[in-house]
Amino acid sequence: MRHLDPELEAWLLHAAPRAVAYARALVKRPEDAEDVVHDVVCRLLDHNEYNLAKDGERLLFRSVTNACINRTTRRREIASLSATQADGAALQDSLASGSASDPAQIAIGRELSQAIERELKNLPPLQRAAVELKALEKSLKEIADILGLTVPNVGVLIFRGRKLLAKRLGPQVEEFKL
Amino acid sequence: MTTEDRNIDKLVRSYLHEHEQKVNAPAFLARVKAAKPAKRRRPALRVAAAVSIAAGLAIVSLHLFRNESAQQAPELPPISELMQDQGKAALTGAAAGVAAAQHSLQEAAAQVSMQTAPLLTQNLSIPAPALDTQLDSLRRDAGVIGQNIRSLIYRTLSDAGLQS
Repeated sequence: MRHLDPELEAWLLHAAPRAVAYARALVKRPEDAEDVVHDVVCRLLDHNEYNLAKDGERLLFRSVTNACINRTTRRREIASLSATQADGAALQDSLASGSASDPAQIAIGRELSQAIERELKNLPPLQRAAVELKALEKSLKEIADILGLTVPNVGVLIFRGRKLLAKRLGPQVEEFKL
Repeated sequence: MTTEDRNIDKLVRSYLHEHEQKVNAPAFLARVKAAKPAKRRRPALRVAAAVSIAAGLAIVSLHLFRNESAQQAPELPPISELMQDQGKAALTGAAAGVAAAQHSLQEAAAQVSMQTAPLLTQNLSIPAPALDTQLDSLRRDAGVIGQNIRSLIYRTLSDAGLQS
């Protein structure tokens, strides 16, 4: 059993869900995101030299990025008829707000959510990470620190990522009036 | 930033926010707390690598020493008894060191086999037969390196007239 300071617990309760959501589009199987973040958090907690309360956000996102890229590029997927489908959990996914109880709205929201996830996954990993971190309102400097890149490079990644997403999601955005 | 960029950011943010809301943070925290802290593994592979490098350097050094001795032997004055004793002690020590290094390498290979082979097989999807082949090769290499160094030492001792 691991003992955590109240300060660290509070930070983890705030940061972990964001990290899981961030990791979701970076791994091949979205349901692996929580496991990746769990492993990363445990590894960070095992290292006493890290000050997570002070610098945890940067370390967490950086480690999650690396872990997701490693998992995506180095792990060999086992093809099996009995394997769980990647979008098994995604059937419940929906972008609809709590007020959208109309089945048609729910279906539209779900379709859009799936489209965003699909198009994010079609971006190169670093572009995807940069676009997601920008959407999480990180500054270019923070993103550069997390991804280990220069600020101009991050700017280029975000610009290209947004352009590709706009091109691919444009018709749907128009259609759903979002 | 254009309107189109803002719309894309908004879409991605809403996607992230949606999935953020689905994470059960208290359950996640409980899972992290329940996970046992990782044990530090013995760095078997690093030990094996260090021993291999050390053995390689020893082989190169002995080769150089032997060649140099062979070339310069006619011009060198006879080695005194004291020097002979010291040289013999040093080379005997080196032989013992090589034996220890060989043992460490074999032990490291055994540790890899016992402790990490199942992990490697399961987590990295390395087929067990391929891993066994690698480990067998490592053990064989350890034996060969040890034998080579020992024979070099004995040959050097013999060349220097320290051993019949």
